[in-house]
Amino acid sequence: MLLKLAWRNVWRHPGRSGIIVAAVAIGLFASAFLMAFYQGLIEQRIASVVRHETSHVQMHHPDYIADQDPVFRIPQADSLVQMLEQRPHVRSVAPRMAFPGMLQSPTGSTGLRINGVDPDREDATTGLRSALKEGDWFSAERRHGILISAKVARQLKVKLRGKVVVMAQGPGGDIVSGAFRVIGIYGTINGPRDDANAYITRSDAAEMLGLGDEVHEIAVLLDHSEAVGPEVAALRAALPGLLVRGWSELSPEMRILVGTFDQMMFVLLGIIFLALAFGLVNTMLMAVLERTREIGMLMAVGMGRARIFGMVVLETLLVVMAGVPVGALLSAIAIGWGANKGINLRTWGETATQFGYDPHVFPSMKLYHALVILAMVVAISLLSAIYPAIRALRLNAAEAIRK
Amino acid sequence: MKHGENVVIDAHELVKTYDQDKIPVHAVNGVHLHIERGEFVALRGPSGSGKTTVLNMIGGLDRPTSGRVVVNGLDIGTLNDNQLIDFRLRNIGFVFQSYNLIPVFTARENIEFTMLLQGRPRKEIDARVDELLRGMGLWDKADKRPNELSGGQQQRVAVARALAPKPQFILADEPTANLDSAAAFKLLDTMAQLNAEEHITFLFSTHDQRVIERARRVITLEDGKVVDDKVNA
Repeated sequence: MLLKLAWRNVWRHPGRSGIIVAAVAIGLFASAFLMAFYQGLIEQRIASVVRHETSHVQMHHPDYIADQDPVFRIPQADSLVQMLEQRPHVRSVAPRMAFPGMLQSPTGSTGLRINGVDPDREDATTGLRSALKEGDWFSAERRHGILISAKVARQLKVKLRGKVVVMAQGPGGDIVSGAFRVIGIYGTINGPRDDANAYITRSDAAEMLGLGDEVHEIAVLLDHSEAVGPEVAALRAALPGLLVRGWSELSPEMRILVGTFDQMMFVLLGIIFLALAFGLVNTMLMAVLERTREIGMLMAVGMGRARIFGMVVLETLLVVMAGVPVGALLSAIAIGWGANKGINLRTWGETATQFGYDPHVFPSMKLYHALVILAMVVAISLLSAIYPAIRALRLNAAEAIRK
Repeated sequence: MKHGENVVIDAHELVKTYDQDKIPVHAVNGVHLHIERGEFVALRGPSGSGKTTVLNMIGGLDRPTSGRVVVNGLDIGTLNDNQLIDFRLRNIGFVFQSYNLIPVFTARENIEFTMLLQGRPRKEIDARVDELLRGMGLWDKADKRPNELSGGQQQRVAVARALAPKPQFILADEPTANLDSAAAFKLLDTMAQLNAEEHITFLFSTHDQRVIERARRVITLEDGKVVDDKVNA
């Protein structure tokens, strides 16, 4: 009976209820789409960071991190790499000689990090080969090749096949150098990182630094990100002499970014829900105040306070619940479309790439987040119903009937 | 005035004072009333004489400034607000001047409303509502909403709603005020018939001469006091 009364009351003013249904639908759609967009942006950024930058796990000599001095190395790298490649969750392993260096051409110079890599392992771990924009990948026949970014090439005024000299501090503190030919220009979605890194082969780096079976860094790509925690713990136990870190420790800025986005989402959702709450309170208050006499009559004939309260709350819930499927459908269509086609941020300029984001964002919505939004909408509608319901309860039946 | 064991409503020294611009106004000033089971009583008086206020106090919609209302031996002044609502639900039927039906319910749904609030069984409700719809001449209007009914039909639905749970008594505030003569007479006939058949006590405020003539007992209020109480010949 209460449900029937509340439902019919909702549709007494179809126009007004329609506006609330639309407001709920738009609020839900905006919240869900916004969350899915940011979720997609963050997931892609994390995936990109893991795939192209940090991998899931990295290992270093414990003292290497402080100043990246080439003296702090991981010994017996090849046997360690082989051992790592046998582990069940490990997809690929990339050992690197990584050291700060200076790149010089006849017309300029720039400081960056030189990465001496095993080409096949590096490609399997970071997909570096697919980032080649011009030129060729490393080959056994062609020694002393180097990959640099387009911006570094412009800075040094060097073209493909052009010569550069790499200078760095050797393990004994002396300055070592080597001549390299630019065999390829590469570019990932993280422009600033590309400009700070150059790639040579590990054998060329070893020759230049005078090192053998030693590396500065070992990057490990796992078959799924949930394995990071257990794998880091297991490797720490197995390799007590090395510093083993997961991607979130390797890229603390990502951790901060995720936290910042979470806060931003909270504020944005708060604004949307606040607007929705104001709309609901206003509408329900209007619905209560214009029915003063009717509510007075209901009280007079014996409808108790709990039922009056329940009626107003039910009316609010019903009008919200009428909007929820519409909003959910809109969100599903928009998020589904976005997840399939992607949203191209290049329409608004190149800012995304400058900050290392993929300009093609694929919104992503987890069931958990969808349920949280739905629960928040229901909670907001329940909270919004309280004040109008209390106003209804405060009515004096005798006075209300006379209105 | 009547006294006896059959007293349904016993009002003692009812006083109701309102503050109007900090000046006390005595809307009701020492009213005594004794209404027995099955009576058909009109409370007459000019506007502002306190009729509605007396009805509100007897119906538990308003609390007296002083004095007390005893219904079937229960002093309703001792009940809290929630108890009063429940008391009204189980003992009193209300008929209002402006009908005050639930606009989103049909005639049938309006009539069954208070029985549903009481939690009566569906079978009992249906039988009672059918009986009232037939008795009130509303059978063919059962599925109409109030805005599809005439004023007289709406008021008959309101009376049927008040009667449905078979209350101890019915309080009707100017029930014919918005009705034309034909509708008013039809309503009065129905009320009188139900009073006779179901022995339900009726107390209605009115200044409608048509109602006063049909009442078996007429109590006259002036300036918040009972100035006359007589049985119609």
